[in-house]
Amino acid sequence: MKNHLQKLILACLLGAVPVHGVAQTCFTESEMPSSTPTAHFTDHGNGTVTHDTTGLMWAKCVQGASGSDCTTGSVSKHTWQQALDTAAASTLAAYADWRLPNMKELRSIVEEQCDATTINLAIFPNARSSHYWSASPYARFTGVAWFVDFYSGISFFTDHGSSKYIRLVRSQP
Amino acid sequence: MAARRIVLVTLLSLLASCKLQIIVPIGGSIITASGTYTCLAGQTCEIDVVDLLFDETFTAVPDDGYRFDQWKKKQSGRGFCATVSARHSPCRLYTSFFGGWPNLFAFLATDEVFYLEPVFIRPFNDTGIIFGQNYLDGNNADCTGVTIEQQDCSHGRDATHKDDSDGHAGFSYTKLGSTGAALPASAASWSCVRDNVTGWVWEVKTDDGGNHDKDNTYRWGGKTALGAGVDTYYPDWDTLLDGSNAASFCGYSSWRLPTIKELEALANLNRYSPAIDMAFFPATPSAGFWSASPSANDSNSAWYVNFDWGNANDDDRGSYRHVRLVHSGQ
Repeated sequence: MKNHLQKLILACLLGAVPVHGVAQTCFTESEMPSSTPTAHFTDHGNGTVTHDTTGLMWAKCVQGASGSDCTTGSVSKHTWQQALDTAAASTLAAYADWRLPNMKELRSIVEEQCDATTINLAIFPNARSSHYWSASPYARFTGVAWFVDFYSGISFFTDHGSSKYIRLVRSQP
Repeated sequence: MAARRIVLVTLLSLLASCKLQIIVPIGGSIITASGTYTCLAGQTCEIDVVDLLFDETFTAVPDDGYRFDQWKKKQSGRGFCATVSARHSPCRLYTSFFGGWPNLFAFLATDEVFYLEPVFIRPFNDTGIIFGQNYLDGNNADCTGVTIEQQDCSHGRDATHKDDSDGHAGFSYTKLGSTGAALPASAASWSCVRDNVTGWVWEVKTDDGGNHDKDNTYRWGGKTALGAGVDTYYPDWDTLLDGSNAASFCGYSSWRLPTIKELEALANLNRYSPAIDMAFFPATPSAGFWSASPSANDSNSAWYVNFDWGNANDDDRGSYRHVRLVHSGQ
């Protein structure tokens, strides 16, 4: 049984871009309680949700998508530079202080109860089951930053030039 | 006054009343000064406010690991105590002044519902990152680099708490002796560390060949492992857990394995090999530490943090990895 990291490295070596359908598998509540239950979020109805246990406000949709079920618009992937610039330019819900989340912020919305989309799909509908950039640079290597794989829930790092999805965050006052 | 009493009697006879709904999320409870009302985590409680004699003071009591943040604003201004001037807990709610305000007084006679809803926040650590990067090439010594205002180092506790005396950048730690006594940061020997941001107390590994030795490794699944009824368990770390509890290690006898997110709170991503604050957590191998969290990937895997890099990953439960015990609560 290969673990997620081995599979990820294998996929990278083979140049494969994994395409995952939404086939989320989850523990039951009695087996393993949800780490990001729907009750912990407030949906503001304007494309933003607040995670009450961290106080962070998140974009409901992956960057590029919109609408109540996040099926409108066109979603694209970004290099790390494009991700930073896109966050800086965002005016979602009339807020001007959107950021690319740091690694611990991004990991705070990983749903530990599930696999093959490790995010609460009721709060973040139509989420891409793939890699999302963080704003955290990697200390050991140059030109490398951290990301979260929301397919498996693991954290890892890769070259700035790699194209990944982004989900914006802001600190509430 | 007489007129008011007549109105009041009329109201009571109609059995109409303004209602206060108390909605308590996970993370704490609501108690009142009088002791009349208690509303626990996950409960919704309703109180009838029928007259000018209502006077209660509501206190939001956070559970272990949480703190009270604010009273939630609700639509149409119906969140009690949520105005800027009264966001703090405890919050007093009384109706005696309603008599002077016809609009408020009228509410008592309606079935209108108002809300009292606390927001409890679970603090979590910043990454420790205080450097910036250039695009594609170049790690800088300080917080400079491409679109720097968007990079990690420009935000959070690491940007605002730069004093390293209590731990690197935003981390804030206190050394504890073997009986739990707080020690100065300069102490040469200590047994545990309290994380002042999250409130959790952590075991410090040793190099003495004993129960807490840094070289001890375990397969996954002893006591306090999560995932009830989920397949493979190895009881390897029970000797460490039971021994720590029996010895009242650092003053506590209810130690457990951390969840994956709790364990990640210790990762200091400003460094590597190991990615942890070595001033407070010496003798930390650059290797994997098990969490208590099983993986939904398959029934034979569980989550660990690799403290060589600071990343979270899952692995077969039969792998031998390190553990670091945590304690939360009183």
